[in-house]
Amino acid sequence: MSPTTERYLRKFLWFLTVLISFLLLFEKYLALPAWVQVIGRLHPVVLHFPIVLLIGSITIEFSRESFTPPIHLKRFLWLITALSSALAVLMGLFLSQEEGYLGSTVFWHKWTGVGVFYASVFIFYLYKYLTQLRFKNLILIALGVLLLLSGHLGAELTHGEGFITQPLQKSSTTGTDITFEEALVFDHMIRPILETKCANCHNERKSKGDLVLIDSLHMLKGGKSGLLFEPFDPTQSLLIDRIHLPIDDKKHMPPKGKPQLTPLEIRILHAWIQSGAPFRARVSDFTAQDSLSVLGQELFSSASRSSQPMYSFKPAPEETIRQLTNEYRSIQPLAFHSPALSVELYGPQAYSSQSIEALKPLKTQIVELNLSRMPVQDQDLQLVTDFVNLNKLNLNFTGITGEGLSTLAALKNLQSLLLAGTTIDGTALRQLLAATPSLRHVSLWDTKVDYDQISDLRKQYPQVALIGDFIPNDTTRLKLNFPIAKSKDWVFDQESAVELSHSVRDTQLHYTLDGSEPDSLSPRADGPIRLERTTEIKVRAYKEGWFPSDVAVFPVYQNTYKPDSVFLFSRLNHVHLAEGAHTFFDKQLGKLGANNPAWANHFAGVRHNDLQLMCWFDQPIDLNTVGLRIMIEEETGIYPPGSIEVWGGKSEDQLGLIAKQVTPRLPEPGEKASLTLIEVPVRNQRALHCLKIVAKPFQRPGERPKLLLIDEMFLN
Amino acid sequence: MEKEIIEHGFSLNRRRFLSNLSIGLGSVALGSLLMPDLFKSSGKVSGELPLGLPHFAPKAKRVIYLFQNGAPSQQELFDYKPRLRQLRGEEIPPSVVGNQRLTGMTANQDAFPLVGSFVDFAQYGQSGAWISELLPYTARIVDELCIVKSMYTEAINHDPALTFLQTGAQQGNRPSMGAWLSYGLGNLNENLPCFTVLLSRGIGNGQGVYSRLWTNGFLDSVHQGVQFSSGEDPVLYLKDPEGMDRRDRRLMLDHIAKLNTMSYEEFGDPEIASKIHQYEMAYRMQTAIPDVLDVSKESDAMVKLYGPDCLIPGTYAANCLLARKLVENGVRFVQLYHQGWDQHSNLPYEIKQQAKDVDQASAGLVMDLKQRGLLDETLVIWGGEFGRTSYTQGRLTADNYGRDHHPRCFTIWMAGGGIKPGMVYGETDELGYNITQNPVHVHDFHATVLHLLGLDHEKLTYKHQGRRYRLTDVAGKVVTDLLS
Repeated sequence: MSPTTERYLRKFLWFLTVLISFLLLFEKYLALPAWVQVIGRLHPVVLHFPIVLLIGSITIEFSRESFTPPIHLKRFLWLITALSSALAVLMGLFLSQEEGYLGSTVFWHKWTGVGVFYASVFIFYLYKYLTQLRFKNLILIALGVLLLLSGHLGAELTHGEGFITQPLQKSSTTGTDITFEEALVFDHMIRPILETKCANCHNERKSKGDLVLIDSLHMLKGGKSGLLFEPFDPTQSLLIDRIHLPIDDKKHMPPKGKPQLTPLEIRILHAWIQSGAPFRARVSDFTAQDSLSVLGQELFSSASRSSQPMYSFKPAPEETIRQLTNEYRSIQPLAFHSPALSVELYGPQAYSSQSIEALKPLKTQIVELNLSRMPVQDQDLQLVTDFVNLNKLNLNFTGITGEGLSTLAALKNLQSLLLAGTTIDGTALRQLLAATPSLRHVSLWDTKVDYDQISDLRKQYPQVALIGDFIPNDTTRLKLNFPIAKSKDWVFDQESAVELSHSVRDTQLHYTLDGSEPDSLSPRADGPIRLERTTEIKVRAYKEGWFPSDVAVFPVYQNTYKPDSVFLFSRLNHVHLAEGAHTFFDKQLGKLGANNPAWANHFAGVRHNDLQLMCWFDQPIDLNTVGLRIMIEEETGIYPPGSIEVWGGKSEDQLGLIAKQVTPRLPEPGEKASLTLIEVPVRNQRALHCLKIVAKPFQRPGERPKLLLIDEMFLN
Repeated sequence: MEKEIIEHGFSLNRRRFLSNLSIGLGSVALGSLLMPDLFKSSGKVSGELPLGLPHFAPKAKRVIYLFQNGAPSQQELFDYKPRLRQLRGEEIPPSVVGNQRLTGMTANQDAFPLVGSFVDFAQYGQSGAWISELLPYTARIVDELCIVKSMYTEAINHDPALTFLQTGAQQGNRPSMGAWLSYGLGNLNENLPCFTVLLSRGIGNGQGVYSRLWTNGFLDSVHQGVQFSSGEDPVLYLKDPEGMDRRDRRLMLDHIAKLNTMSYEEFGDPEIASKIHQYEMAYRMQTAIPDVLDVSKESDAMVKLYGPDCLIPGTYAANCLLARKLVENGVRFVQLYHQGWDQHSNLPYEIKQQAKDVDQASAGLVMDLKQRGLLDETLVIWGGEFGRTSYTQGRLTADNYGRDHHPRCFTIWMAGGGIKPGMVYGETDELGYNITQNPVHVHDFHATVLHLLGLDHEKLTYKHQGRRYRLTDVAGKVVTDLLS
């Protein structure tokens, strides 16, 4: 090899190194033309050279001084090694751009291979110094290991995992581990038969009748008696002929005395030849009705549901899908790249049979159809049967009946059928199940099919999930919740009307007005209740099949006299200012929970001083009672007033004490919070123009005074 | 000497250098021939997939997320820890706490006594899941549920934790889950919003929720969550005003749309396009919503299933019923918030009421979906933003105690939509404090939910301010054990 050639080879190596580095860096953007892909496919061929050369080069490095070739020769060998590995890596890179090369095995194989390449380049360029390195041997051995790893991963990619030890493994290719979706027709259905029943006499070492039955090449070649089979025509196929001959016939295969083919195996071979004897096809490539597929279904378990179903039809033109989509009909592919379509209809008022009929152009691609709540009638189902690949059909709450159901038997791929809320009955369902073996899931809640019929059908069709009521014939009783009361005037001066109602339909509401507990004998609420005085309405709701509700209490308050002006002499507690003096006659009632939120809860409060409210009336009033609505919450120290005084007169200078009351009852510790009305009787005071109401907060000696909260006052 | 030799070896003469330079450049040029799009600005980077479609055929098409705001206490609901009862009152071993960041509320406590649940647990269903007596209805349907006991997060307070769980980051400027789904999958029914939110509140100590939790972040505002009102009218002003004809409204909208389109053509602001879209959706909602949200015709069987509260607008049960109706009509993501689970104190009293609020309705919702055959396509999720501590907060009395926030483990359950039913996933230690098996981070949870809807969480991205954002940020692995 002349130095010039070597120089050119070196430059070529540099060229390849830069090229490979660049391609690796920007791999994402690679878009290879077809002829480059062809080069890529030479990778499995070319890679053998660097393997051998590397092993050779590494081995030579370990040779003894006296035996070792001259250094320039060794260096040249490394050059060739690096070059060949560059080519192998380059082709491998091209090959990896093809589809299907994505997993972690490829990832590791690629990068260990690239590592081997860079290592060999490195070693070549620094060869002179390699010999001086202390850990030269370590590097070489590491390189060897890397090579082994890369090679092993590469082989795994081509032959699959566990290839080498496979004969030692339990034979698993007859379906226990292979899923339906993964299964290859020849490898997983045909080959196992050949291996167990034929290969003993028809293999490469021993080929009776010059026939070898181990792989496609040999099977296509045939043997002494001619070609083995005629694709698509089992009747003209020698293979089928021989296995069907009477067992005593000399030519019957397998020969008498050896293990014979099972009927299933015969059917498999027959179906295989009928389908054209494909060697590379997958079982799932065939439609579900094809015999190969059916046989495959028997042999292989279906994969876990998260694998992608394979569809054999072509996608619909996008333009058609776009035209047929509108705001009441949504058409979507099941996934990016999937030809299968899912259609949903909305807007019952916009529905007509045309909505389904318009979908005819997509009849092969529609796999899911949702018609729930649409007023679909039985005759519309005829249109649905056009969608031959329909898998899921939702007819919840549509107008179909049992008669329409039978038309669905025409759908050979129908697996899931939702019929909740329709009027179908047991007979129709039975007929449908009998006629549609593809069904796996039927939803029957709120139909005329009763629980016993469902149980029966479940036993008869164990592979179909029949979903009925969650709790069939549920007889549990629940308690009704509280009744609701609505009124325009909870605080009124002459009269008020209260309407009682309940959120659940058809309940009976029984009420009392005298403070007693209502029961089913109390009067029924049948329209607004008219009230003319302060009253507490107590209501309880009843309904057949339910426990009666708890008693709800709705107080109404009468306030005959509204003052024309009011004035507060005292200061209110800074948290409970409410609307100031106007709080007490504004008809706004507060709720429990003084701090929730305080400023909007309509409660005015005092703690460290009395509440003194002055009221003036332009027209004289005849007063009988003064009412105060207060909050009592023992836990947080909100108590009724210690005492209440009422002063009245013709003017503010002429006030006299007209009523006084000390607090009637203190709350017990732990008592629940409540809103209470305190009424102070006034001994028939006539013609009052001016009123002063004084309420003192309650205070135990030595303690902080309790909070007094009032949200409304009533003068009657 | 060695060094000099090596240096000499590395030195390059001019001829060599120029020769190698030109060869290298030629090599790069040759390589770039194989990359036609190398210098295109909008390079279609592999990893980006077109929007509006699932990346692979999904199980679930819709999600109902029953969010229990405030953080329900797992020791009282799903995580059975009898050891805590035995160790009642004892100090929690520091080795268990490790260097956990405690909240300001308990960091200054001088004692951390352990306290067990005040309610009893029993096993239910084929999975033998332990459920407390506070959730009898949930216990009944436990064979449909997948209970994950080993969720964990980093956030220790409500706002960051809520934001984290809803948007994938503790800083609140990102799109929420529903917005990502709307962006990635699009709307099924153009008459209804794609993402709706319903709120309810229990009597327990509540924390607020706010629109940041259902925001569209930096995505177009069409992907925002639409919050329905909790009152009698979930959507206000649905009816045209008195005297206005529907056709008038149509004409009005058409004219406005024309003006807006002119504006859009001039300024190109995507918000204008969103606005046009929203006006159209509002117009369609005027007819669609009353039909969808009308509960007056629901049968008694329905009312029994969800509990009678389901007819009272604004309650959790009513929201569950509405959620089912929305989902039946093609809404993709319905999120419920039930506030009031933040039991720092007064736990036994408050949690009983909170549990009562949600138990029947949540179970009822799952069974309603199953009865209608929709459970396979609808993913139902129930859970809070973090868990609660095994030690008490505040004083431990004979019948009262509270629990503080605890991010290290909490429990959620999921049902339907491709989740493996009848399963309990993950384990915590006997003190219910740390996870011992199968931790599931919030990012993993998000990745799994997206996977169930047919989206690869690493491929659903949006470029904003120079970076491609995604719901799972830079983490998250699909928990394949949970998939059926």
